[in-house]
Amino acid sequence: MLSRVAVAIPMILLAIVINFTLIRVAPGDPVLLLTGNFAPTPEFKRAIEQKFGLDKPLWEQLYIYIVHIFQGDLGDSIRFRKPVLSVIGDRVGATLLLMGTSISISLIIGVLLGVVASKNPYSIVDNTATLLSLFGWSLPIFWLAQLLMIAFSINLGLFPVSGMRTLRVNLTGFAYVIDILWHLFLPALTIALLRLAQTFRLTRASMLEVMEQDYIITARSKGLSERAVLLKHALRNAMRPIITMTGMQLATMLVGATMTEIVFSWPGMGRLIYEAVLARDYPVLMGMYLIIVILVIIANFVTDIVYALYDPRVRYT
Amino acid sequence: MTEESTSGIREFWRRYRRNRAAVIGLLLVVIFTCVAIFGPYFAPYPPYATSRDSFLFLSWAHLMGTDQMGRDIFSQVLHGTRTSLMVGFLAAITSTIIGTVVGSISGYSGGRIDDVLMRVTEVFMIVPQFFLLLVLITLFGASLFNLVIVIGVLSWPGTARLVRAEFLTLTESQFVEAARVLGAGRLHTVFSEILPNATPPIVVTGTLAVGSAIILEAGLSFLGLSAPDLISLGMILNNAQAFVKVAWHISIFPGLFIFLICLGLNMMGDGLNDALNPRLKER
Repeated sequence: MLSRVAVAIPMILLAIVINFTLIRVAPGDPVLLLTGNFAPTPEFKRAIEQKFGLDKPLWEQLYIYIVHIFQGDLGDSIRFRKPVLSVIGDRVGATLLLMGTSISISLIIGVLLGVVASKNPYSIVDNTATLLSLFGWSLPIFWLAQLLMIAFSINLGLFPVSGMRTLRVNLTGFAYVIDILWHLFLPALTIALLRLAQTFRLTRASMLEVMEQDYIITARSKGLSERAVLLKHALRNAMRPIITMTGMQLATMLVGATMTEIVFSWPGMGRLIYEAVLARDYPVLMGMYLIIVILVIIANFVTDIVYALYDPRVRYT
Repeated sequence: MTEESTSGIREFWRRYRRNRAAVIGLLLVVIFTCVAIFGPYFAPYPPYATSRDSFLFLSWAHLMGTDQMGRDIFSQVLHGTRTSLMVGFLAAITSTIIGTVVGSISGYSGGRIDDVLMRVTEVFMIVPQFFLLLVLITLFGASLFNLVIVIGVLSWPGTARLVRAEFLTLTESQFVEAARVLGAGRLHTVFSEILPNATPPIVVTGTLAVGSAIILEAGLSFLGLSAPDLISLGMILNNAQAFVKVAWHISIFPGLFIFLICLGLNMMGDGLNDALNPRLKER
C-alpha cells in the first residue's frame, strides 16, 4: 500500500510542475496570464510578481508555487473574483450527482446486457447490442446530448431544457428532490448511454472468456443450476476488468460530463471549465486541471483497494 | 509487385470482404474522404456568406437549412468535413510515428531504456488527455498546426505500448534469430525483419486513432477552441447550441457527419483487425 502512495506523490508533483511550466512557456507575460487580458497597473503587477516571486530565480519560483498549492492557494479567479478553490468547490456537488447517477445506471444495465448477450453469442440480441455499442463508440457525446434535448425537451416537452432546478419557484422537501431528479434525467441518460456501450462490450468479452475456464466446467459438473454458475462463478470473475475500467476511466467520464453539462447548462465542474475557457480565466483552468489530475490519481488508488477487497488473491504489500 | 505479395493482398481482401460491417465501414470512409477532398468545390454558397434568410428549415435551396446569419449549413458542413478529416489523419499519423518510434526503441533495447520509456508512457496515460489538450490549446491558441501537434503528441502512448509488445514477441521469434545468426545488423533486423511483421496491429490502431482524433477535435471546437480560419463541424454544433430552441435543425447534420465518419473508421478498424489476425476470428 505504501508503494502506491509513493507512486502517487511524484505524479501529483509532476502535474504541478507541468502546470508551472505551461504558465511560463505559454506566449505572453505570466502576470497577464494570471490577471486576464486587461493591463494591470504597475503597483498591482508588482504585487503579483511579489506574491509568486516572479523576480526570483526559476527554481525558487517553482518552490513558491508548490508551497502555495499545498496551502490550498490556487490563486484567484479572474471572472468570479474569488479564490479558485472555492469557485471549484461550489461546483463539485452537481458533477458528483450527475456522474454518480450515470455510472450506476450504465454499470447495472451494461453488465446485465453483457451477461445476456454472452449467453447466446452471435444471436440477434447479441448482434444488435454489439452494433449499438459500436454506435456508442463513434458518437460525439455533445451531439447525443443535443439530440436527446431536441427530441425530449424541445419537441416533446417532457423534460426541462436546462439547469438543475426550476427557477423562481421555492420548492422544499420531496418536491425539491423530484424537481432535481426531473432535471437530472436527460444529462444522466446521455452519459449513461455512452458508458453503457463500453460496459456492455467489456462485460460480454470478459464473460465469454471466463465461461471457457475450467472452474466453470467444474461448477457445471457439480450439478449447480445454470443461474448459479452464471452469477456466482462466472460473473464474479468477469467483473474484475469492469471494476478496473470504471476506475481508470474516471478522467474520460469527466470529459463526458463536461460536454453534457455544457449542453444542459448543468452547474457542475465541467460547465465551469467551459466558462473558464470562454473568459480566458487561466487560474481557474489551471486549478481545474490540477484538481482533475489529483482526482484521477486518487480514483486509481481507490480502484486498487476495491480490487484487492474484491479479489482476495490480489494483495498489496 | 511480386507474385507472392499480390496473392497476399488478394487473400487479405477475401477475408476482409467476408465481414459486412467492415465493408460498410470502408465505404463510409471512402465516401467521406471524397466529400472532404471534392466537397468544398461543390458547395452551393461560400461558407461565410450571410443572407437575410436566417433560421431557414431544410429546403432544396438550403439542403441543411441556414443559421442565425443566414449562412448555408450544407456549405459549412462540406468545409467542416475537410477540416475534421485533415486534423484526424494528420494527428493520427503524428501519434502513430511517435508511438512506433518510442515503442520499438523500448521493445528492442529492453533494460533500463525500456523502464524509463514505459514510465513516461504511463504518466501520459494517466494524465487526463482531454483536459491537458484543453489547457494547451487555450494557452497557445488553436490553429491547424497546433491542433495536429497537440492531439498527436498526447495520443501516442497506446500505440507505443502495442508496438513494444509486438517487438518483445518478435525479437524472440525464430526468423529474427535466424537473421541475426546470418549476420544481419541492428538496423536491418529492426527495419526489414521486425517492423514489417509489426505493421498490421499498427495499421489497426492508426485507423482507430483517426476516429478518436476527429472526436477530440470536434470536442475542442465545440468548446469554442477551433482554428479561427477553418470551419469545423464541432464549431457549427457550438454555434447551434445557442439557438437550439429556435432552430434545432442546425444541430442534426454536422453531428451526423462526425458520427458517420467515426463509425466508418471504427468499423473499418475492427474489420482490418479481424482480417489481419485470422486466428482470432475462429473463436
